[in-house]
Amino acid sequence: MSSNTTDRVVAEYLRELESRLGGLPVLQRRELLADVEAHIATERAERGLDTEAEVLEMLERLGSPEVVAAAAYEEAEMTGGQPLVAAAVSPANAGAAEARQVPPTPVAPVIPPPPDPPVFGGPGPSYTSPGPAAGRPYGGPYDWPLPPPTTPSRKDANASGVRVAIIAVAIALAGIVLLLCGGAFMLARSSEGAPASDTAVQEATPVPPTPETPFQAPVAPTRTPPATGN
Amino acid sequence: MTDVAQLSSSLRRGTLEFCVLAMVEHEDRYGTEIVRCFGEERSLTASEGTVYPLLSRLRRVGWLDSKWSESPSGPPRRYYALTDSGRSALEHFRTEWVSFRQTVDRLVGTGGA
Repeated sequence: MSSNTTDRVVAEYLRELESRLGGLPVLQRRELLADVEAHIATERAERGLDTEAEVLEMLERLGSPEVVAAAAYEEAEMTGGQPLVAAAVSPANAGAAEARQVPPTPVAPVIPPPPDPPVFGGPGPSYTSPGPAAGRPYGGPYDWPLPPPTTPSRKDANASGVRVAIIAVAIALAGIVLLLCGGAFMLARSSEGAPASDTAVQEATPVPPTPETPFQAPVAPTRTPPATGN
Repeated sequence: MTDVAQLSSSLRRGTLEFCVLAMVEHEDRYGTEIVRCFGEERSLTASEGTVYPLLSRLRRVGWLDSKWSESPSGPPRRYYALTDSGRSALEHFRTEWVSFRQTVDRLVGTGGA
């Protein structure tokens, strides 16, 4: 009946919105989805929206998932840039907990998805249900005259580049520490005369040039003390 | 068209949140109520749904309190209230805005002398 259709339309909308909010902190994502879901339910109840056309009109006023998601990223950036007043103010209830949960970090964690080209005209996968061509219920009405959110992605491209650099440095440092430990371990074993001195050869040789090369020198197999049975 | 949209967007950015604060200055309102008022002001928002992230941010910075409450005629509603710091932020904005508006009017040549 019609309520199944309207429920389906709403569910598709919410699914589409959720899929665009992946770059947000979990708490903000959940809050927005709860707010939007409550808004839709309230509108349907208070205005008595029965038909698919009425529900679609309401969703059009609400705004396309792309527009709403873009607003969410914009607001998230604003909080990331400014010092949180809530830390000092801390209203009585969950406000304080919310403030602590939002980390005062740079914008880096908030990465909006790349702006899609308007899919409404062409074979848009976003709004079609997985089943047979149920049509694109949102065809057309979402051409808001808003510029796509290019600015956030440029800023975030720089921020994610910095993140990649930090991660690369961290991996390099971890690798160096592992090599040091491995070197120390092999040094201990070879001085005990373990038969693994051959494997020590195999493992020591392909070591990439690290600044800690002097540490590797004592492990060179040819320097094995004559006490070991080679 | 894009330039016009970008201009309104920039003008909105600093002021929209204070319009929201003013809406709950005298009485608590629930989300859909607030959003509907803005939905009619086409110059302020792109769409109704964009107000929700703003409400969320105003809660995070401590200017709004909110609580869910049951409604007799429908699903639970989230009611918003102005906090003390929100109230003083609004007052501060009023002063700033008036002097800003007067300065811009004077420089750009709009409004009465």
